Amino acid sequence: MVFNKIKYYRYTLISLVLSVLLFSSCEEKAFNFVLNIDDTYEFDIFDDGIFSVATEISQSAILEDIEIESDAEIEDVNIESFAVRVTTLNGNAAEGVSLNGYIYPNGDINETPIPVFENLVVNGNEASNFISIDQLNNAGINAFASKLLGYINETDIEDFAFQLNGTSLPSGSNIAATVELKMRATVKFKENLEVPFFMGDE
Amino acid sequence: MQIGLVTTLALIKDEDKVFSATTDDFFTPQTTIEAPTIFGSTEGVSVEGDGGTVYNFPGGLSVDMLPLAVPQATLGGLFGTEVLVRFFAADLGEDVGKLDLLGLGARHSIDQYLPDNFPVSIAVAYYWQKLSLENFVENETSFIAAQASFRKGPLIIYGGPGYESSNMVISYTFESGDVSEEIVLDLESNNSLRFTAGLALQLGPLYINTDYNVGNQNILAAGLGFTFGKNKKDFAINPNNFE
Repeated sequence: MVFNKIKYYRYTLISLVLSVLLFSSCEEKAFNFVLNIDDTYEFDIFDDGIFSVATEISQSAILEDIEIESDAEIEDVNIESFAVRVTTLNGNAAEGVSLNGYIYPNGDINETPIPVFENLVVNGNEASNFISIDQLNNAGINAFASKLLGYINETDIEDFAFQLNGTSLPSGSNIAATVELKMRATVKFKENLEVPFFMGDE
Repeated sequence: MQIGLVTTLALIKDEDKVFSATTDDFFTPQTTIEAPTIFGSTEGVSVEGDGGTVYNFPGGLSVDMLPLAVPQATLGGLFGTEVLVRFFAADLGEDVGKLDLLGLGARHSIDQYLPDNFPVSIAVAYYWQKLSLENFVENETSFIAAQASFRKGPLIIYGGPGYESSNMVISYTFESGDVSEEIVLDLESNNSLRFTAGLALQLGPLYINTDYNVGNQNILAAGLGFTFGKNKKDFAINPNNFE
């Protein structure tokens, strides 16, 4: 059986409800759920020093993997974590890479960027697995979360851009690598469910 | 022979409503916090991390008690021994799977070895019960008990000590994005004493009873059913005997 956090609670709720034969009358009560949004952004880098690549992120891409009932009340969207993995390709001579991640909430990379992380150094010997990014910038994280909240509430449908730039280490060395950025966000929402008297808050 | 419906009301302890939860690998700093279990508060808890990140643990279902009703049949009379079967099955759909409850028990009367005028009926018993929700919950309980009952007219007082062993395992596959992980939670593995005290009312073939069990989990139980044939003696009546 495969399901995520929200389904886990739903199915358990259903099973508990159905296992109770004595109590047929139900009442509607509010429950709080959490749903994950997982996205990975992939950047191929072939350069001999300073590089800059960007990707556009759309509402449909964010919403395609999540299911929330239309009558649910969205309470908040939070960014939980960012992680990075660098996979070297044929021709790579760099020993590491220094990375900066920027968000452009309106999708225009000519506007002033909001940093999500800066000067993140990934060395070659630690790059084969995803590693967590612990030097995140508050403003960039809030901007990211705000876009996702807008997408879910349908109050913002504009694409936004995420730019990755940086330098190869040692400086000027030839880099051939794929950089993957894994983002996890959580949607907190409230939903009313019909449950027996012994479940839920009054 | 007795056929009846046994209802139990398990009271969820406060300590079963929270657990020590740890944030996932990529959230920094890794934090352990008290979060609601599925029985706990509907309010989830949040942990603030580096750079404006937030980790959210979901709320529970706010369950203070868990009632359950299952049919039960008891067949007795052979060498002072009776056997008990409790069974319930339901298909809860493809995602959840089948709900199966099977309980088996045997009880042997000590009365037959005691003088006829001995005022109390005494029995020893062993019960086993397995509850499984095909795709993710498995609960197995065994219970050995000494039981005594005293009749005054249609009223029967019963009770006694017992020793129970229980284990519950919740297993499921957690899927998030391209990550799929088998989660196995060994929620409880307890051996503990249990004491039962109850009252039964037998009016001809009809019996009604209620009892309270104090143990690892406190349970209020009630039963309603019919007795067919002749009861040689009260035989330490305790129709609910394994909740």
